[in-house]
Amino acid sequence: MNYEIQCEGSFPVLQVDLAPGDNLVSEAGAMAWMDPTVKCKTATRGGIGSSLKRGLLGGESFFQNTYSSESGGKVSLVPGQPGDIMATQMDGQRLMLERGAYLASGPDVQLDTNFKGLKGLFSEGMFVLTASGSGTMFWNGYGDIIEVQVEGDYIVDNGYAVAWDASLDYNVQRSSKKVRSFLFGDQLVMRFHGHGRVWTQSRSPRALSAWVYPFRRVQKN
Amino acid sequence: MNTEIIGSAAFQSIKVTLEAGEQFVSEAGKMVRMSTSVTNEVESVKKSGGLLGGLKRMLGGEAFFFSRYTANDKGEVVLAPTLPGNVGFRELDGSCGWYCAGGSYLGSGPEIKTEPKWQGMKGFFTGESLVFVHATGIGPLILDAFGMVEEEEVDGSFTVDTGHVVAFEDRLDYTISKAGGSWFNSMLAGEGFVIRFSGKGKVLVQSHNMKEFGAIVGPKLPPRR
Amino acid sequence: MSAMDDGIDVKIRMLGGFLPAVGRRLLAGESLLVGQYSSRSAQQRLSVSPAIPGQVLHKKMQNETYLMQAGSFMACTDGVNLGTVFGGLKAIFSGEGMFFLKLSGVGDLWYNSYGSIVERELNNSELIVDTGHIVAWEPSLNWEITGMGNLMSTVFSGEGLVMKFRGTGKIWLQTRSLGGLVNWMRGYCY
Repeated sequence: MNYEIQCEGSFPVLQVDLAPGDNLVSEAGAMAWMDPTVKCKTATRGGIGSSLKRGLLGGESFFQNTYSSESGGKVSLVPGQPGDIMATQMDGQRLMLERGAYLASGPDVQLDTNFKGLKGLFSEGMFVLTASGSGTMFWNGYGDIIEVQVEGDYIVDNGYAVAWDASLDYNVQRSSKKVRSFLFGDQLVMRFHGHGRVWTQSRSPRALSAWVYPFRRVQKN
Repeated sequence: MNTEIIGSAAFQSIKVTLEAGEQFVSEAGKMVRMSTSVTNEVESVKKSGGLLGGLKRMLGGEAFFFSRYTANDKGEVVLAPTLPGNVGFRELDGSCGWYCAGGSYLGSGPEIKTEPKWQGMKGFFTGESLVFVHATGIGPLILDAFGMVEEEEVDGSFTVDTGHVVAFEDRLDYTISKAGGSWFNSMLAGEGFVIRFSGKGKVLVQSHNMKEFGAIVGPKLPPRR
Repeated sequence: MSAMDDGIDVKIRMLGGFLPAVGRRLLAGESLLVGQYSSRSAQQRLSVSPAIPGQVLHKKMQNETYLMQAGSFMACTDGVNLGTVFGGLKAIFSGEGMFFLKLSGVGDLWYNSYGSIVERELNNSELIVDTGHIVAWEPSLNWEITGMGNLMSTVFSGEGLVMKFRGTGKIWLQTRSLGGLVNWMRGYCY
């Protein structure tokens, strides 16, 4: 699949050049603009059960769009947040992604959701997507994405780890026992152990969510 | 202690390198990553007058929880702001202090004293009060901004929308008022509250308006408890 | 307005004449109210800034005409005419507001984008654009607001309604949208 990440900088856009027979799967709502020769089919992916699980827990939407073109055409996709877009060639390895980081992928990339973290009063933790299979996977972050090679131990604040090799062990733990995590949402840290890569983003979606909290309307009973 | 601003212009972060035994303070919850040789402890600052420190975040102001980092051995801490933008940096030399507005305080060296200063509920339509963090002393002061930061040298008078103020020198006089002269006018024009500075001193302004950003995005999100 | 010197007065004006109260309510959050700034003395500075992350752009208008998403408009000088164009009934459901702005005349125009701006030139061709990603376009283009294909796609694709441009002319697109940002943030709201 031919693709180009354009407008590199803070607000890049992914342009995929679909040849006849190509299929591009993406999250709902990611299409910014496309040629009229591109068709979009909306479906639940892998049956209702897995879609619901992905939708309710994974932060990704229930529905996935598949783009294809009989005569060839370009489709431009964007994430909701400002920040880098990355393309990874999957070839049998597994990659873990923070929810909200998935953008699009070829039809042979598989995605699974699970939750890892401290279940407690505020259900703080990490919704993680596991990507496997083969083909190109497109993902994104909030802010700049930096690749870090881990040899041994590495601590990343929970909100800033966006992707990592499944070969790494990791643990979600409280960085400090004193403070209620609700107020910051990010007193959790991820402790990585082993050999592998971690990708960090330079802004935290959880910190943003805590920042915007007072601007939200209050629920009326 | 060494500081280095890293990242692209829209998403700057600051990397603080500490020697063994050095300490450094930041607003709690701003840490991105740190070496395993650095420990951090969260302290709260209680305001005299009986208001609970942590609740101030609910009011859109500064969290009164600080993280104190101590390096047991040489190590580094990376801090990041919440919104896209620059990290501001000033080296204070003791000649005057700075007021950090609207959550812009990010971190400071151990010789800098930080005190929350309430502006009270002076006519705040949104029910949000203005909280400034007053930083005095000598050493590095780290600020975060929404967008790009510019420094204005005030000599006379200067008016800025409150959503655009990052920080200003405490030798400036200031009043907080409405832009359009009448409540109705101001509100309709999307003008919120403005700070009118007078005297001589520096003001750091940011290119984007975070209050307006919150006011645009907030109501579109699910309501909160 | 983000910053201004002392010698500037502010007055509020409503674009396009007076609208009945009912009409204003349908505006889906777009404000047709603008501030008119005039200065009493020379050398007064006025700063206008956007609220959402992205670019601020300037255009020197020389009697051309543009259609623009109302939310992208920031400021203009006196010789630029500001009018409104009704987007059609479908526009109400597009999530971007009912009205587009029509800009013409001579003067300076400032507008902002959420994200980066991409310029596309259509040469007797077509382009489908998500309504949240439109900034402005030349009136020589035909446009319509339409669904994504079948009903299922329109409702569930997350795209909702899109704009179809046809003909020859330039379009300015932005690489992020407010709707996209809100949808993304929603996933982190407790």
